[in-house]
Amino acid sequence: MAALHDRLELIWANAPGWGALAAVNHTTLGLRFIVTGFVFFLIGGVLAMLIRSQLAFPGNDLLDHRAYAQAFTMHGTTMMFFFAVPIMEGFAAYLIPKMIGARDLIFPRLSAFGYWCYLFGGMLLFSSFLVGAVPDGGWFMYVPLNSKMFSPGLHVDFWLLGVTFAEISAVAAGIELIVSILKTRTPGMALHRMPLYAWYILVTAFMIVFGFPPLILGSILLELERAFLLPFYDVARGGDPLLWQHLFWIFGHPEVYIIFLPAAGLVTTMLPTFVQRPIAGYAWVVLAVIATGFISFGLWVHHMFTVGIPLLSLAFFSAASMAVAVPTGIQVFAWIATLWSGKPALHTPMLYILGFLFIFVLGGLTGVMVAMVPFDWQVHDTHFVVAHLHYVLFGGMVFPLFAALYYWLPLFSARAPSAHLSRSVFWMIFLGFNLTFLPMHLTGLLGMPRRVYTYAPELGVDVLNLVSTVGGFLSAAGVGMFVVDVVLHFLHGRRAPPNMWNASTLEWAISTPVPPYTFVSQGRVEDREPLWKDPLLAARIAQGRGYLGQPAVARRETLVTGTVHAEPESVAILPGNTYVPLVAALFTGLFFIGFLAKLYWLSAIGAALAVGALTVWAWRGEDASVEDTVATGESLRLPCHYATRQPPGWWGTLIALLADATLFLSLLFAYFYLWTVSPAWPPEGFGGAGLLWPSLALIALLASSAALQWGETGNRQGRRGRLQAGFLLAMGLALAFVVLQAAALAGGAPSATAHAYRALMFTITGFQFVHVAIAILMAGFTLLRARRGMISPRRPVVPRVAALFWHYTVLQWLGGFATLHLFPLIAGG
Amino acid sequence: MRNPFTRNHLLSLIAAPLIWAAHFLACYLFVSIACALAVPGARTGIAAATTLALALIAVSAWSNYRKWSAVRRSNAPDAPTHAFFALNAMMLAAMSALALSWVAFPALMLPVCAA
Repeated sequence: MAALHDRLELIWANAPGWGALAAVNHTTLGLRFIVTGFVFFLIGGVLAMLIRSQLAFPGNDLLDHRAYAQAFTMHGTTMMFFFAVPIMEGFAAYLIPKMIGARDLIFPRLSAFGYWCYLFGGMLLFSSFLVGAVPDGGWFMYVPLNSKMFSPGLHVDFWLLGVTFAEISAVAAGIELIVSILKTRTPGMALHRMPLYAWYILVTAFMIVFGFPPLILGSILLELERAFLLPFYDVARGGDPLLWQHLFWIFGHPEVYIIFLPAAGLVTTMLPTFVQRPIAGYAWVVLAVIATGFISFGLWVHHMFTVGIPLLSLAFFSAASMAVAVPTGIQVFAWIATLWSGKPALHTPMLYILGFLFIFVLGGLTGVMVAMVPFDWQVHDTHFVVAHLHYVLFGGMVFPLFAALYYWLPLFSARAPSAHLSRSVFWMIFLGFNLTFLPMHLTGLLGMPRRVYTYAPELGVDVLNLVSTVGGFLSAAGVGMFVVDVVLHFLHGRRAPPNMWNASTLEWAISTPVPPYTFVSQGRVEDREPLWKDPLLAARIAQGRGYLGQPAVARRETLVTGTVHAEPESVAILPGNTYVPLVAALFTGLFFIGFLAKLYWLSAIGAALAVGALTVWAWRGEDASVEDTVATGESLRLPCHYATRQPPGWWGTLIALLADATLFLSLLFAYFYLWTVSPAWPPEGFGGAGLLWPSLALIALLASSAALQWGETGNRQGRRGRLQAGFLLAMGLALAFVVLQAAALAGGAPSATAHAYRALMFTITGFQFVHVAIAILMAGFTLLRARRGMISPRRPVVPRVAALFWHYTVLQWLGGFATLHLFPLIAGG
Repeated sequence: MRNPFTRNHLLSLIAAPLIWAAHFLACYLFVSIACALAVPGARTGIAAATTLALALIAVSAWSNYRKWSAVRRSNAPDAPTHAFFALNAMMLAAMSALALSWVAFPALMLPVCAA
């Protein structure tokens, strides 16, 4: 057996030295996300201590109003975008394959690309400190404060570009986790046996796919307004600042649950271990997680109760904000029932879980309070809201995070966490936290506003503030002690046996520290608690007696299984170490830096190079030397995934298109929203564009879809000539679309900077042009491969993925055409 | 034709919350457009959408209840999967009906466009 381990180690290991930059393994990347996220947590914490120091005394002059604005803006931005979301993604990337019994995530290069985008995005944002243009407009970047007129410097651009760059990683993680969970679970792990953590992450990943695009779109529009003066938020030219608030909070509220659900998933995974009983109400928890995923998209206006929206609309959102407490309550009761069902062992992670329950429930209760419109009107923009949101986020996410760090440390290090220091850390953070934020409810009720750098002694909140500051430093000291504890752990920690907590989930079947190939073989799972039900499973997996444990293994492989029953379907061939993701991310960074420096030629070069890198990526995606079927070791041969009709790449494209469609729908939302605030549509002097050219363009685009489909089905019937003819014809027709549609827009009408109507016309058309360009590129890529003989009925993936994207592009334009060219006819009467 | 609410498919599982989402969006749009353009009919629209959505959810709940009672005592190898999908779809239907009625409830009491 040692020979098999050595062989797998050789195939899966990261390259030494600088070669580590080429790593694509989920264990390595998950750790990188976690460590980087924790560093951002420390930075955000230092900013928090600056805020608390300034507020310790009335009239304090440690920070002036500008420095204070920078501190709270960067604190919020860092904690939300660079700590909470990425570190939870890191945990998911690290744990999901191990829990579902897979060897790796399904798109390893995408994980690496996501990590680099996150890191570079963070570096771009924090480089604002070097040039003295630190963002200071709040983590929610409201306009008009952050429009060109009131924030002329680069502050806002650093935020928009840095955060958008980092968001690529969130969307990438969302796509990758969905496909991994649905398609790579170990045989037998049917949906109803899946670990609850995987359910939590599945729902969270879908929320990322639908939740992040509105913010990305809002940021693109704001950057377009700032850089090229296209009006979207400027009232004088038909825009509306409330559009930004809608787009931001359609993202922003689901975001809270994108942070909380993974953390709750960690709790749901750890709790049964310390009780040594299965979770109470598995089906109830699944129900609660799905319901939360939906209802959390109906809450966004509760951040906007004071902006003057019709009362009945407010009531809808108020009702939904209260309704979301129901699924959350179901989870809390499931946790309590689980605790009740056994005898909880008070190990350190368990302390944090109890701390979480206590604090989070309090935060949830104040959440129901602020869900009431009249109450919210009273406390809006006061420190009451600051206290509430920290109870929810610190209690709901940071406590589970610390529990999880202690709980899974043995997997990282093969050592047991400290027994005493870890408890002191808990008490420091727990007491410090409550001392900071419990009095802050009163501070807010007494009328102290948020985001104001000081207060007068007459307000009567100086003692409360001083207590908060002392508490803040207490919990900061606790975090410092945690860092010491972890360092000591890796140096002197006591050796831990495998599965030291006697947990039930598959990640504890792996030898520690976790080897790069994760599992020697993929075992069959017949139960929700595989390691409790089948104590010999770990040994069988380690002896290579599961799937893919054959001694002749030569490549990185993991099984692809059915969505519902997880029966083996094919073998995915995974890529090895490669620098391409790093290079692609660096070029993407060039694009963002060019935009920031207003060197648009540099941006164009960056974009072109990034597209080039992604083309190389795609070209190397399919290894032509692999035979059609692969041995899996269980006297079963399965097709390699290149030979299947719906391989993981096809699924990944489909999920990416869901995110893309959400981006487009957000753009259409902007259009219709601005229509509702505009007195006339089209505005006076903007109408009169005929239907002739756009209709011809639409016909060309529809015809291109037919031609492409004709080529794609031709390939499946083995007619190579038809594939090439169909794709060439489609490319020609798509070019005709671009020319005709550009002609339709050219005309003598006012420029795009004159009015939001015109700006949206150009933006929506431009959005479509980008899609058509990508579609043409994909078709050209297919043609090139077809000419090299790399596409055949047995290798159908590339034309199928190209066709999927192509048809989506055409479908999208049906919406675009109806909005731009038909709607004004109806609205204009 | 097979009942789309009772398949062992993720979309069948989440049919009820999808209906909730469509209803929520419809109510929000009716009020926003009615108040922005000063056109009547928002309340009728909300009433119609609520009735339709509740009816669809009831169909989902009832057909999944029947599926669940048929399979829960079965020994067929596939029975646990069927039971899981049926039970969860049923519970999601109940949750969605509750949330949907709760959201639509204020339309009975509040004037549509008061600010």
